[in-house]
Amino acid sequence: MKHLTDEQLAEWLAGDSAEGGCAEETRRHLESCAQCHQEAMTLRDGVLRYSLAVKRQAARSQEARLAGGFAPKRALAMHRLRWAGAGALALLLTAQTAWMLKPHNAPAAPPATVSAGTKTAPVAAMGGAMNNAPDHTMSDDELLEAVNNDLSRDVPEALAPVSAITVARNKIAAASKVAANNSSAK
Amino acid sequence: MEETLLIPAMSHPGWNAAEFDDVVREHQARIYRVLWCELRDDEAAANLTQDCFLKAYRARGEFRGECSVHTWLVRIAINLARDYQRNRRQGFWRRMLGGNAKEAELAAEMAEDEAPRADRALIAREQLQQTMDAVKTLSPQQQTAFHLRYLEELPLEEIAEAMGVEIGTVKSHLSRAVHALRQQRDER
Repeated sequence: MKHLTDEQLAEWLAGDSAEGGCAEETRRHLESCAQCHQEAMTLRDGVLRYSLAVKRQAARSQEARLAGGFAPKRALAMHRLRWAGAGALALLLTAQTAWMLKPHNAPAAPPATVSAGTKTAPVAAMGGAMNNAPDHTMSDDELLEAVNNDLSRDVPEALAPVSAITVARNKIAAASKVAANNSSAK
Repeated sequence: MEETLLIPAMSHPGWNAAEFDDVVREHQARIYRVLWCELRDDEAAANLTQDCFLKAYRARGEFRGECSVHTWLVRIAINLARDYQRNRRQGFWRRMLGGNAKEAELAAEMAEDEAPRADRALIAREQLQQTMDAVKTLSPQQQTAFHLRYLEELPLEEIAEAMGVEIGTVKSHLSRAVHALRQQRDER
């Protein structure tokens, strides 16, 4: 006996009595063949259970969506927002990692060695070997004080020792003169 | 759903916005189910249901009434599901991580229904599992044909129209599905 084909069973499962012109033949075969009958019933039950289970599950899923306001666009927006947040975080971490990996040979100069408001501050901030060299620089105030000292000096620096002797000599002479005047007065 | 479909009326012929709301109300549950069967993903099914009606509304001027509104909507939904699956890069991981969860829920649901009779519950669970396993072996096109035929109970012509294939192709898909079901049963 020739059993039912997949096509015939597929049509029978869907209840296609008119399609293909073989429905009557299929029905008659199922009545006479216990094996095909058993197989057809098993297939039908399986498909029916599957169909019912899927329909019920889908309905439950949809009910949950409707209970929650069923706003798919809002859910999509949240989904995109989550991705954007993750992207921003990744970007931040990448930037931080890049900054950490970047060579930093020039540590910042200790603030204490640089006077505030000096012209040398930017130079000091450049750091490197310049910071290790002796500080030959002079602040504006120090420079100004040095100039004032030079200008206020009565005698050239080179002549200062001679001048000091002269001053001392003059002071001694003046003191002797005062002493002489005092004794003559007595 | 309705609140998110407040689209400004356009100059296309066919439904106006109010009439289209009726279309949405009438078909949204079935379209959602079609998409849910295709994707097994609540969020994706909800999003694509929305997209399906938006797309339908925009294209309503092109609808000539050559097929039913439902078939037309199913066709849009299936195309959206195909695009979604094609573009979903994480599909593999989703299937790996979450695919079995839905099936477990389905199986558990059947067990609940049959709880009073333990032996019947066992048989029911076995039959459901066999069918699920068989469906998994089918190609996406075959699965779609199977769902539209045995779940949505669409006529072959409408399935062919919705899927954009010949009726013979639909029959071939269904035969392949039945073959997979029989094979699955024989293996157990």
